[in-house]
Amino acid sequence: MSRNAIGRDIPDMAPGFGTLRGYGGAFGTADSRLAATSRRPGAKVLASLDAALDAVGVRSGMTISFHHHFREGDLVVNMVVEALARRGVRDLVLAPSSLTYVHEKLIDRVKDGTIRRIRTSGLRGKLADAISAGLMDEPVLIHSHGGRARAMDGGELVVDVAFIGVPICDPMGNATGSLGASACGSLGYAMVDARVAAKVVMLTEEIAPYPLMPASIRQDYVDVIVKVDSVGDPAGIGKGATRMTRDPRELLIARTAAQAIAAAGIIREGFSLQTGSGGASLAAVRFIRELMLERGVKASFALGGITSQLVQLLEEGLVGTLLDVQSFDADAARSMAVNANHREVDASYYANPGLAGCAVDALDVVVLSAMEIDLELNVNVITGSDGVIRGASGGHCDTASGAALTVVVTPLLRGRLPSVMDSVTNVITPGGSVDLLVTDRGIAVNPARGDLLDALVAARLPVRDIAWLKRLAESYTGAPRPVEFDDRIVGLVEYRDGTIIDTIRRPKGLRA
Amino acid sequence: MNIVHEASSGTNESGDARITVSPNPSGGLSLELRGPSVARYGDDIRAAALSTLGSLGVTDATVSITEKGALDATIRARLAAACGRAADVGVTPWEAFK
Repeated sequence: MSRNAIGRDIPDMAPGFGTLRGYGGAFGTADSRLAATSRRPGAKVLASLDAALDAVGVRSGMTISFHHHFREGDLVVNMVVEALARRGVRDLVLAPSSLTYVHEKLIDRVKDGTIRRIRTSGLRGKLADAISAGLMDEPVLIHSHGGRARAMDGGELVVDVAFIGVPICDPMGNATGSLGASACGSLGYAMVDARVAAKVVMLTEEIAPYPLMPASIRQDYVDVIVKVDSVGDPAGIGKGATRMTRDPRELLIARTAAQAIAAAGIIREGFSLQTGSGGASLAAVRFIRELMLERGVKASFALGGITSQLVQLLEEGLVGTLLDVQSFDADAARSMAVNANHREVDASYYANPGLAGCAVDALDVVVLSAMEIDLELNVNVITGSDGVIRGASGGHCDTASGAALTVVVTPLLRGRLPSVMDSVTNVITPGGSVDLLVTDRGIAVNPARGDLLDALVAARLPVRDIAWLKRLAESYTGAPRPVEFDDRIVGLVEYRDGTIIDTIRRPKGLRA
Repeated sequence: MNIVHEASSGTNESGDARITVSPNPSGGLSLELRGPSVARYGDDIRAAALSTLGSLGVTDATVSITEKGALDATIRARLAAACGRAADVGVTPWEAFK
């Protein structure tokens, strides 16, 4: 028996409850997360990034995460990594949702030992060139968006500190991507980081009065907040509206894809779709829309990276709900703030295969791009024709696996390079999850989908054997020489379930 | 065909090539090639260029090719035009090509 802070006698033990702790005072609980400081709004707002790094205690060897919602406008990764380098932190594992052209500064931080390992969906530009040439001792891990969420929610990827850049938050850490000068729309990837990271540092351009609602990132996940001059360059975050291609060849592919989707019986009341953000994949939206109007049907939802074209469908009443894990342009970011049925979803909701359900599994059709596709329908979207990394896994294999109909669109030739080859340089999406290949010179059907073949032939669409498409391409270009690689593995390609589907090797003759 | 001064042909548009031919003071043929197809088709493009130079009787020249996905036929035509200009030959001897 002992007397607590207000003079009541409390037994040391109670049956079924074990040891009891006596009350110590209204502000006296020693285990509360911020016991030593006030918990009033503003208490977690620190004066500088260095103060924040002190507060969360970033040490050598830790895993730190970032999101890529600011795309080519991102300033956060470089800002934080430079600050950590100045503090002498070493051997970091960098776990951003993706990296882009603007992150070439990281080359020097790998060279000086600040960064030991990188896991990312994508790599481009000089950083990708350097990694392909053998910059790093440890191979880079390329994951899908769903695979990253699986690794994080499943506890395989443990994040010590998540650095989350936002355009605006309140003094408690409630944040949105929909408002502010650097508005980026959905913060879907960062929402998982906030949930799982041991510590969360929020970098914001603006602090709004409490409460900022609706919040993409919740106050209960945020440990410290730092106001910085800028988290992103609006010019690199996204243009007003994603432009639809006017290339007649891309439009031909897009129209053929829409006709094939219709022939497959997908365009009916309540169907669901996802498309990419560029070229023929985006243009397919235009032709699917025409077919919906013609048939008088509406879609239930559109998923994924959301563009102005999908916002238009929502605002015309042609699609019931947009599920937005990443807003590709300013129109999409604006729409999420004003349209009640434009809903933000996190990466686990989007595509995590390790939990009891994700949205890609509800997709009727996805239209995806490809850099290379082979006779087995395996798709490469990570390495270029010279074997050098220049792309991203993204949601490619997640949506291909989930959707009832997976359509890959690509021109048969890009410049002189055939898109269809004997064997792709690297596999991101296995051919087993691809149903149709639509090119400007014909459609190939996965042999396992005899039903689709019959439907497309009945609709008089130009169905061709994929080997025929390859021969046609090579009749113009000649057979491509295979890229030669040495034994150095510079990258591991992770499939969405955590298994390794391929390795990326160093092209012969390249040296870091 | 005798290369007497620098001349160019072609464009930097997709599917084309920009080719510059100039005299080679040290004699012989010097060929520089760059572009997005080189990893897969460099050997084919070099072979097309060398056979074109052979057909035209060009034995001493510096040739710089920046390709943007040009097929062999385009490489041959652009190179023949550049050589004709660099040799001050008004009419390309197309009959030299098989």
